[in-house]
Amino acid sequence: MAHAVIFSFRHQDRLLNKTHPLIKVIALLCGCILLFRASGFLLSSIALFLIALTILQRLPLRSYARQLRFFILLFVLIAFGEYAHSQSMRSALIVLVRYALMILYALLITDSTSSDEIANSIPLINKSVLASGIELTLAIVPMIFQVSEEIRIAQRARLRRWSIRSTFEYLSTLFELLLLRLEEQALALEGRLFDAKRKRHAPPVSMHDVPMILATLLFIGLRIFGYE
Amino acid sequence: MNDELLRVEGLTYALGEDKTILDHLSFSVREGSFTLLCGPNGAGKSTLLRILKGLYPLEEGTIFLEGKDVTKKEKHRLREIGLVFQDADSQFVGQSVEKDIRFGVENLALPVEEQNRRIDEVLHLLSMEEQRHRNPHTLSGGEKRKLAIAGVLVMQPKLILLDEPFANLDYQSIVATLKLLLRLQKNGHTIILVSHEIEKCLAHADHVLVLSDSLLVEEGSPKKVLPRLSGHGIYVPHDTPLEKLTWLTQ
Repeated sequence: MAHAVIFSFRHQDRLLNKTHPLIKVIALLCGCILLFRASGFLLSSIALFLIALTILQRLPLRSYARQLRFFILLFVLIAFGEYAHSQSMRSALIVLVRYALMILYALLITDSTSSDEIANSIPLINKSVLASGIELTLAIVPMIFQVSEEIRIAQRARLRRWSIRSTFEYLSTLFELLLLRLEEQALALEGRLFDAKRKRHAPPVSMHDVPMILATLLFIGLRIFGYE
Repeated sequence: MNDELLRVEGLTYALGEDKTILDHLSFSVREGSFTLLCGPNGAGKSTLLRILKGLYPLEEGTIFLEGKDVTKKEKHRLREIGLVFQDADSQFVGQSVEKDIRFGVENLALPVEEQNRRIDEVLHLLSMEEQRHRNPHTLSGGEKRKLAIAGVLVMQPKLILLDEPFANLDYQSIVATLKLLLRLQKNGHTIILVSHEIEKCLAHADHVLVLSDSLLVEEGSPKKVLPRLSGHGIYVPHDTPLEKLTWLTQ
């Protein structure tokens, strides 16, 4: 059995899975905007909220460990850049936490929401080709991580050590393999009569959405009243 | 023939002027039959399936489905002919088994009740109820193959094409897939199966097509074709009678 792929959907009977996809997307957008400037109390509040959600959602972070290495590298670079700019460890740490929380937000949303649910739930565009575009783009994200993991394992099995050359080889193989997979998938979509303008049904709003709405409003309130 | 489902006449496909992939193929397939399409690697088997399905343009030749000329009706062929790809992973679109099966029937714009009915029916037929909410990419090889077949079956095609359905499967998964295909045939489905591993299923075939070097070099009943298969580079176990060329031991 294959390992869980990062940014892929898992069907579960949990609160976040039952929350309306549009509310989750709005919460993600608001959360990211707030996180851009958040520090101190607001940052801690959002962190606590997301950690609680991670536990409730039983997010398989251990399974994602290898795939998260890319982001860890990114976090280190961002923190290093901030430290070089501000010469402040605290400031570098805050920036690192902000970006880590943004990724955690995205992980929680994608873990609890399938790409078609997101496309179905966005009003105005859910009857257009744009919805299908969003659906397919989101569906491709786990594929990128899956393919990159396959290449990494194959290179390692053949005792490839890290070097600039091997990095370029890795990237070119990744693009080549992704293009091949996407070509096959395009044929499969055509074969299954893919209709980009098909009728989509938005799910109804329910009481399960209340915690996410309240939490997002609370964070916006904290920001407005200066508890950054 | 009255019960002829598919007839192909003079089908030709080439890449550019020099590279002919399929050269003037003509054959027919009976309704409810099990046709085995075999041949060495690069013979054009997968290309033929994709042309029949309507995914690749047909340059020369005619395709008849239920006696009607559907050569220029790619959309009709896309609807009436189902293709299970060799790489099941690339066929998955939905992020759960149920969502992936639903994908096809949603595109057919069927009412939700009918979609649900068909999904339940297919999940039951393929004994996949327990995997209903699993992510397709976390399934085992055999389960992935079953899901790929389910995604096609739910659209109720007249003809099912399977490209190397036994590839990368273990013994048990091959037996399970073979049993499933025979059950589908028994239910009235017409099947064309591409495989070069004839020892796994030749005994069950009604009709055999052999492709080699872009040409249809053999066509007929398994009994007629069997003695000549090794001459076309296809592995045939020594001194094995036709009825033993199966992985079903029952």
